[in-house]
Amino acid sequence: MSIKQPAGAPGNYFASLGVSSEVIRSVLAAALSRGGDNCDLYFEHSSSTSVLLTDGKVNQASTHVSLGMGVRVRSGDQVGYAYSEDLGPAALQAAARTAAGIAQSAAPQTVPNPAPVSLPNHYPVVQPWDDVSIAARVDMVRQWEQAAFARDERVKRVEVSLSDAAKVVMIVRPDGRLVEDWRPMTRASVRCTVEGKGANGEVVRESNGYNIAGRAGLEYFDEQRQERLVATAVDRTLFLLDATSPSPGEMPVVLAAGPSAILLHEAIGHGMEADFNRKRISIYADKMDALIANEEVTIVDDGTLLGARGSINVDDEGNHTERTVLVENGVLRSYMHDELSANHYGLKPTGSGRRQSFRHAPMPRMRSTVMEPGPHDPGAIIESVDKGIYCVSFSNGAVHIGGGDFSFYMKTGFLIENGKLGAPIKDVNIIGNGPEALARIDMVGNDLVVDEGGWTCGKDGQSVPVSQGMPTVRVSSLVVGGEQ
Amino acid sequence: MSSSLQDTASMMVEIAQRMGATEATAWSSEGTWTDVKQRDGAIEKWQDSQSKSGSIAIFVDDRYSVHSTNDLRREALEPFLQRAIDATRHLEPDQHRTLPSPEEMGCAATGNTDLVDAAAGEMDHRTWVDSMQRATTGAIDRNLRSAEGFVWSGSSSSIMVTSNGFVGHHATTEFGQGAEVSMEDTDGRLPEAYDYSVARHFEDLEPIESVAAKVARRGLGSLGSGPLKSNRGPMLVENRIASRIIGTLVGPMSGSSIYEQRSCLSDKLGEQVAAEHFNLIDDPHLVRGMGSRAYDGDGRPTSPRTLVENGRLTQWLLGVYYARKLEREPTTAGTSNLVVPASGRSVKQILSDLDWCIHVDGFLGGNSNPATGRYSFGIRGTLYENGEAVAPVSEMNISGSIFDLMGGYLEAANDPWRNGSCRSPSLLFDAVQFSGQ
Repeated sequence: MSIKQPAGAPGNYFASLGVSSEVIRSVLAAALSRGGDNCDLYFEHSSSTSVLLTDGKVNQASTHVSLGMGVRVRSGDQVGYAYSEDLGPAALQAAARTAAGIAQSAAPQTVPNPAPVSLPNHYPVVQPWDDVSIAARVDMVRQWEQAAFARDERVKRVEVSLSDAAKVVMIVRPDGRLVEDWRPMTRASVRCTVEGKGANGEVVRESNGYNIAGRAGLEYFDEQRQERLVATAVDRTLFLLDATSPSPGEMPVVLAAGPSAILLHEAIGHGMEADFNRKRISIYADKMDALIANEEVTIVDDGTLLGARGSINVDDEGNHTERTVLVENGVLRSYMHDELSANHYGLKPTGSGRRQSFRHAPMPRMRSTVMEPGPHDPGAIIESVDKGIYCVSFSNGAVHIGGGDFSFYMKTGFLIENGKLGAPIKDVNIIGNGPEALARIDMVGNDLVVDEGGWTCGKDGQSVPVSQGMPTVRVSSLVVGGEQ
Repeated sequence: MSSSLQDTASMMVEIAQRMGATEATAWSSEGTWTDVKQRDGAIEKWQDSQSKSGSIAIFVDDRYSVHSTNDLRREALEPFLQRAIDATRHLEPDQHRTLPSPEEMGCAATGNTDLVDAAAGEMDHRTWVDSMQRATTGAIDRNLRSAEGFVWSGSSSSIMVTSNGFVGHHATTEFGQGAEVSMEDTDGRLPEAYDYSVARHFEDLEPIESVAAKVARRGLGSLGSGPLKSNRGPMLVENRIASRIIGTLVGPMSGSSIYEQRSCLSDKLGEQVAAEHFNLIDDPHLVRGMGSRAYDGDGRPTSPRTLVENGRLTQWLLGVYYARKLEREPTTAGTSNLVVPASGRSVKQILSDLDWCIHVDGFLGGNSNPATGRYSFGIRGTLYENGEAVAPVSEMNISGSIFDLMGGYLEAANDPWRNGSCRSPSLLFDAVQFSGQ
């Protein structure tokens, strides 16, 4: 039931839904009818399908379809936004006139005919989901469930979901640019409840899981990935049976390669989104070209990783996406810009303007945020710590952009004692201050892993899919939760 | 307005049944919103939204699926629902997935909780947001970097129709105003603070000057914050964030987590889960309440119910489906307004009786484990000693078991929060583990 990749020239997909070149020009003209400086039209048709296995049965499916156009008009730094769920010309023009109200003059502007711009493809799909029947999906989730039960007899309950989504977006600008991008996504989740014996022989239950996501078709689920999905879900749940809480306090924290990049996302990433800096309310405002980290630290935000959940062929303002170097050898080199902030700073946008859907105005967002590898052997990083913790997996994080305090929740990890991994630990929040934490990254490993987890980033009420990656890293001190 | 909504929902049910669905429940909804933000004297963003959507739960011979779309033209709905029904046939049967019977539905939902204010369509947002932002800027005489005022108003309406004759209508309006400030700390940090008021009726909003004064107090109070040494002791959780604690207790009451055995409350029905003087009520009938509703997600009429009485867990949150699976009577599918009864003492009186106490006014991240009841949250707030504010606090965590936390519940203040569906006063707990330096 997914939307197929459009076969025709850019623009044909929405033309077939009635949005011709003439309609587009009339809507652009309406958007600029009050003298706005610039505008964008964002057309979107999205669909998703998921099947869910719970309580031993594949007994639930869901589908979702959404269609509409959002129009943004800019007048200086001011933004007017409206949208329409009806693609008829009158409804589109009415939305455009509403958004136009942000500007206060009446200078008519002429708009050229839209001309398609060709795009790279960072997510080629081999086996599209629209060819995969519901029956085939039912078989897949059933196999994962059986593999989870087979892996350990302490597994008592298994929930599995498999979903795919696809959207066609078309962005048109008053300078004539028209881009069209087809964005596939797939996501799978395995969740288990396990039962085991606690320290005093009592019955203990725990629940945990693992999920993975990428912009890909059925080929995403090769044998190795399917095995890893199930094994990680089961093992991470069993791990909790023996794990305890660490003692609270400030201590060195070693972050395992991969999902630990949640630290980058919260402590550094959001603060480098240029809208906060344009408004001068980010703790990283006015720090451009300053040394903000150890010289081993290089951080990029990359929209071009092959098949990554955070990749985009073009951003949601119609600008080319790229690999943006945020921090190079410890020096702050660039923020993530949308057009509004790029204009403000007199720079080119970095292709970071993203939005949740046509119901939302774009803003600077992360794509795949990655720390480049450093010189250290990961084993040597653990050996360097006398007493601290080693974090393996995470569930969520948060940040205050201006105060800089950020936190992330560690689901599983280990104590480090005398340079060796010790007792398993679980369920603690870790908190720090962004620039301080960045400055305290004093060892960077040589083992970069881009995490395959299905991360979603929330900002100002909008969710977008993101990826993240990091090598093993030592932070000399963070405040770790826990109980004495 | 509601007649076209009802036509849409009825049309979805009719098409689904014609195409082979045994039973169906459809919801259609629409809403109109205006959100405006103004920063430092200039409008930053003005958004007008008008949306509609339809969703449907389909039952085909004990098989079940749910679908939603905003393309509600009949010519689009027919192929959409045909594909939905075809897909449903490939699923496995589940005997518990049928519509509630008329007996399970109980009597028709009634009651007027006054959730609609006709003023929703007549607001002057430009003047409104300007007053909100300027009042906030004017209330702060030092260290202010930037102030943003925000206002919103809107109305929404939804209809639920089932193939066995239920029709429910739920309509609300909402008004909100607030501000966020960025302050300049001496060390280069720019701590932010915000406050807001929200209500179903415009006249119930807290005055702009009062909201602005609170934002100012929070902004100035956030300067110079940092972690204290790790310690164990009393914590007063401010009313507007008490929902985080209440939610940690209520989450594991849901039917799905009970049934899937990932709830720390699955063996606690009738047991003590909090101190004896703690009570928690779900009240769907609060007049003008943000969470008030006449019927729940199953279409069953709602009624006030006590979830925790004198510290004992009295019921789980069971919709019809999980009630059948657990072979119990349904209670309600999800919560409406959660109410913790207020007491007679003010926050100030409570703090003045304590040698020291951390007054927590914000959480930052953190999570809880519903299977075990363990929680760990980041906090912001203020250290009080004998009623005096002595140090702003940030970059600390609290951790422990929800049972220990609720067991150490001491008292509720006299300030029930009215700007959301968790109507809890500020709550005082004893012996909370704080981690810091």
